[in-house]
Amino acid sequence: MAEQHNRFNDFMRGLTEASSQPVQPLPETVPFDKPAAQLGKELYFAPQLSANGTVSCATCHIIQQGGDDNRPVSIGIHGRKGELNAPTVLNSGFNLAQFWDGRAATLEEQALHPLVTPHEMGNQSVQVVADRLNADSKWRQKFIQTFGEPASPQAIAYAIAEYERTLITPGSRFDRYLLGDHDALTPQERRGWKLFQSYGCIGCHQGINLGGSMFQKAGIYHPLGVRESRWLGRYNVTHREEDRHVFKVPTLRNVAETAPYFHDGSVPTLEKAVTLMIEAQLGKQPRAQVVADITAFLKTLSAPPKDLLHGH
Amino acid sequence: MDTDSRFPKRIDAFMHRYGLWLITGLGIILTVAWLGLRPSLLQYAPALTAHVNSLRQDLTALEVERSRLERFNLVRPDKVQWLARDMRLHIRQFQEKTRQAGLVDVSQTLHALQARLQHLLHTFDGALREHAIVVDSYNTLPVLGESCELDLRKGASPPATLHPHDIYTALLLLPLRRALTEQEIQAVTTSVNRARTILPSDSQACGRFIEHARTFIRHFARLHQQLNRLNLDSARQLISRLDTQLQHHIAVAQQRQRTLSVTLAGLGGVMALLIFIMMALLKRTVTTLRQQKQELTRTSRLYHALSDINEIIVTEKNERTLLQRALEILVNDLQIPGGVVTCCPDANNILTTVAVHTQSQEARQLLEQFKFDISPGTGNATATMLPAWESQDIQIFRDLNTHPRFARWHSLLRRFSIRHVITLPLVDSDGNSRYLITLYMSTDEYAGTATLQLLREVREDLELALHRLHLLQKERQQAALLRLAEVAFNAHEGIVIANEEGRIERANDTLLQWCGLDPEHMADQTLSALFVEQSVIQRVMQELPHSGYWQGELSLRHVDGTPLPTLTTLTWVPPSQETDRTGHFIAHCLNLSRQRQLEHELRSIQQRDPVTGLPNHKALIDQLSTIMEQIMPHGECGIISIINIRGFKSINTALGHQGGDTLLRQLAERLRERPAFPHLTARSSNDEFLLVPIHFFSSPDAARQWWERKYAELLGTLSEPYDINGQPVQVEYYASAMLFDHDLPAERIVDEIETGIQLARQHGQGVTQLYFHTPDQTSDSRQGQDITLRHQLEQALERGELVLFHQPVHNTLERRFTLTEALIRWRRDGKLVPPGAFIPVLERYPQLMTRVGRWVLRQGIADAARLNRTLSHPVSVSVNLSAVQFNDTDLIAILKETLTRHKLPPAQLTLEITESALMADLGRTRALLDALRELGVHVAIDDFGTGYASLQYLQLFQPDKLKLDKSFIDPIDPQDRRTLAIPEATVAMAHALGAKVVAEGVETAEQAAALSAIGCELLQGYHFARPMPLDALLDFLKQSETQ
Repeated sequence: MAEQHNRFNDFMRGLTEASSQPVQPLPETVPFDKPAAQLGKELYFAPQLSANGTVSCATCHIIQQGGDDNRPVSIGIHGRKGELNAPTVLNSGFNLAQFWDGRAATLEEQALHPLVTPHEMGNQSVQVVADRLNADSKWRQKFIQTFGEPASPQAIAYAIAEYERTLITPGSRFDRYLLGDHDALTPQERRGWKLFQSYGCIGCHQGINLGGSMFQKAGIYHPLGVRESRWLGRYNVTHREEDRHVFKVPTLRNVAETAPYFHDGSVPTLEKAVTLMIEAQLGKQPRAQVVADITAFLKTLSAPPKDLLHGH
Repeated sequence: MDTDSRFPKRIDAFMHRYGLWLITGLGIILTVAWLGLRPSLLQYAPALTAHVNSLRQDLTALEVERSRLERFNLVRPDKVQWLARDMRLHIRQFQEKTRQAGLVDVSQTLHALQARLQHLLHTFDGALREHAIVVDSYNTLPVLGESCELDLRKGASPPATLHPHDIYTALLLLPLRRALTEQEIQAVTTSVNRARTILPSDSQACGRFIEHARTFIRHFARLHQQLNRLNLDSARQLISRLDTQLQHHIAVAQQRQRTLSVTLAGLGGVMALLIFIMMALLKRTVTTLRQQKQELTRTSRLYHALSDINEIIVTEKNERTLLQRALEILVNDLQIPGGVVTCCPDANNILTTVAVHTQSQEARQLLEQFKFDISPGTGNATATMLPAWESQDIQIFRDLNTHPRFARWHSLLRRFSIRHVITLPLVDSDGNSRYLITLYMSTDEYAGTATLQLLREVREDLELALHRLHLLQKERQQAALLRLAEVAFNAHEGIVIANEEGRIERANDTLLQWCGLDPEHMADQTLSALFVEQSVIQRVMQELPHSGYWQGELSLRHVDGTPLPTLTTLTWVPPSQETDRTGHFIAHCLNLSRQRQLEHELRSIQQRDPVTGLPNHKALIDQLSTIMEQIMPHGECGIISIINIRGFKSINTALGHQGGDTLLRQLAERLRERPAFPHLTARSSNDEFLLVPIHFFSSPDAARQWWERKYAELLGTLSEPYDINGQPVQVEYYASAMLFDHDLPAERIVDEIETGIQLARQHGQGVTQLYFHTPDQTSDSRQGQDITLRHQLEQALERGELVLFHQPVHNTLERRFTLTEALIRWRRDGKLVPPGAFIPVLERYPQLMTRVGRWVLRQGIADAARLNRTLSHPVSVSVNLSAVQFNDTDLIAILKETLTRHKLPPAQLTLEITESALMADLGRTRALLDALRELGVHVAIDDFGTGYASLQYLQLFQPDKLKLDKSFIDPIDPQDRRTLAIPEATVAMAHALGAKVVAEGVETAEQAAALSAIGCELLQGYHFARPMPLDALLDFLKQSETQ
């Protein structure tokens, strides 16, 4: 399993190393372990993963809706609300870390967190989930077929992560533009792309995912979103003073589909989010035209997820 | 013998000795090999070096990223991330690969590197963050600065000292300056802060400029700090250190591997050598064992053969059969093709074939017909048979089948695969070759010295056996002589010989006469039919083949039905295979009719009271004891009563003896007839009568009551007047009664009741009423007498009152006295006590008898020694040995010790044992006689002819002397040859047995002459001398010598 992970990392490195540009298009495909991904897909949609069989991964990370649930905070098991806005699952394999605060280095790590978080799937431990799956001969059989052994926390995590890595959205108009199709973007969108670069947005929102590659302080010139103690971001992980209110720079891919915005889901529209970002992070008062252009550009980052499992 | 089981045992021992070393060695090799084959550092060395190189490259790439940050170039945070990730990956893989090697310093360095990397990444992270902001502000500053400048120009006069232009120029120049210090940045910060106070606050443009400038300078300071902290040198040093350590470990590992290889090769070589040596040793052991096994099998066969032959030697009685079977054993046990026994070369030197045994039938026929010619030079049996016959030594001829001399036999020899031939000559006791045993061998197995050794033993054994058979034949001739003597001896015995079925085959004249039978009628008769007690004899005959001997009193039946009491001895002669004789019964019958008649008369005289015809005192004792033994139940008691006629003496005087006797007779009749219960009656003494009811009681009270009643009736009867010659006479009585049980013998009971009546009379009791006597347990007159005598004898022994008298025995051949018989005498108060008065008492006290017997032996030996010291010719002494002394376990030891002490040759001592003593306990007698014979002491059978000693036992005991009883000597009449028959037969028989005869009680010169004439060499009796003390004997012998 670790080998597969290395393979994916090497593949990603290859994508970014080769490019001198700060942003890269999404690849058309990724290397993955098909049987594991297949099982991972079934697990992703399986409500059996939650304590009372009502919540699956797909409950909060709806693949056809930009990979999240379009709620400010997710509603987990027994209708409990989450604390932060659900990040998109799409293209999450290209993120340097998972969660807003980056507490999970890999998708495998991330996949297990919701299983045992009380307000998400509410299980006592991952082993309980594994035992539950093993108790069901159908699931047990599937695991044995895939891994040659019954379900275990490692196997569950690997299968789900493997599936999630296949959730990519290549072929957006911006990607086509990057690959040389100059007409893929309208003039306004091209203007937006230029502004995105000259305004310095690209200083943080860069790489394949236009984000997800660094941690940055939310609100340099002005505070951004609701500053509550529970939303201290990376500080919760590192406990360094300087990491207060530092969050993972979120990806902008499919950003138009993943409203509401910011870690607290406090901003309902993209225009408003762009305006707030320029004010807080860049110390500028953007003109309406600028916001409109950048927003137009951001919308070109959307593409439907590609079904790698069936396309192969 | 199972030799196979020895084999694994040897291996076992071997493994015991070396196995531990072997296993330890293997263990060491395996351990070392495992250590050597463990995933080695060397295996990963190229990969590890590659990791280090990758780490270096990544670090260089990071350096590039750092310099980009410094120069405000566009940086790719994701690239830093990938680099970091890559480095972490390399470190982790490096760790995984070196974990097993347990390299402490490397893992420390790796940890340090990891920590360093963590720190670097964190710093990079911060730097990137600052960088994004700084770059952003940097781009904005000129625009905002110009706007502020414009505002200042539009507004009030600006302070001449400060222009936003100067500020942002200073700010923009900051990243371009090399070796920027904190102070310089601080100075710029101070100027920006100062500008904030100076610049007009109403200008929005200036406000934003200052805000951006401050943000810029703040974040630039931070970026500068981060970059300063972003020191990659330490990481590079760590990587270099890692590289050095790795190279060092690789070098060490290589060195170790080389050492290991050398060690392994060395150890392996040593082990291989050890194993090789072990295998060699094992092989040698196996070979030795195999040889030993073969040797053992061979030896085992040889000894098996020897043992088998010894077995048949014991059982076989016939020479030829013995040889045939010995040959069979040799051929079969040694597993050789065959063998032949030959003997007696005829005039043409052709040997007679006695026995042949071969494995194949064909070879057998050939050997049987083969003429073994031992003619020197020309004979066909000159290989071994001739030399063996002549040298009388075992001869071996090896490789007969290839020897040119026997070329014409080669094909035949090959056909029966014969290679060697061995011939054993059997030599008789006279030193002549008798037989040749020739064995043909097909293998070398039995051609060695071990076989020769065995064959030598076989030969010796067979020779001994042949010698023994020869002796046996001689013995048989002797037995024939014995049988002759038997016929003569049987003059007054009836003898019948019957076959196995009990049918009579022969009978002597005496028996025919006794039974009134003709010899012709005998054929149809069975042995049992001769006897009255047919069932007894039939039963005896059935058991006889097992017991061999039976003796008892049986009556022969005369044809007219008259029984003839005899003492019959039945002997079983088992069948003999040798002579094809079936088993026989031999009955010897001794006529007891005369003896019986005398006994009967005697008994009659002894037991009846002649006056009354009633049993007397003694008879009553006999009857009473019979009743007590056979009728009276144990645990019950009986009554004995005594009746005494009061004043019989006066009655007798009054009526006269005749009248007294009449009275007694009438009284006896009344006592016998009147009581209405079974009883015994006896006349105890003159006027005393005894009465014992044959009626017994479980309790004394019941007995008393019963007797009181009966006694009253009896008294009534007895009190009736008697008619003595027409004159009525009334008599009065004393009476006494006593209860008795089995505790007292009959004798004592009668004694007691007689004592009882004395007491009754003395005390005047029992006049009319019954007096019950209580016996006094201690009083027993005869026993008391015995005890007194015993005590006196004891004293006599101690005081030396016992002496030995000697009666010389005349030797008719040497015409002088060569033997004396020592006889015990008791000189009591100067007077000699007759032997009959004390010897029976001695016999009753075995302990005393034993002591006296020992004294007699010692004294006899001492006397003999004295005789031999004093006299010029040897004189033997004969001492009587009592039957009691047979039980004296120290007897032999005492004999030995005394003989040694007196230096008397054992042959000078003869021990006389009576026939009856001999027969009492055959086993013990046999053992004693064997011991005596071993000691060299002579044995004589005393009173020969009086007891029932059978001839068979004479042969068994083989005495040195027979003492013919006086009863056979007395009737000797030189005129009547028949009177000499028994002495003559005895002498013949004794001589046949190698014994001498001593005639006892020779009283006349005629007897002496007659006995001398029939060859009786030793004569003893008053005719020659009476028993005399030793001194007298010495004088007597000296005197007789001079005559």
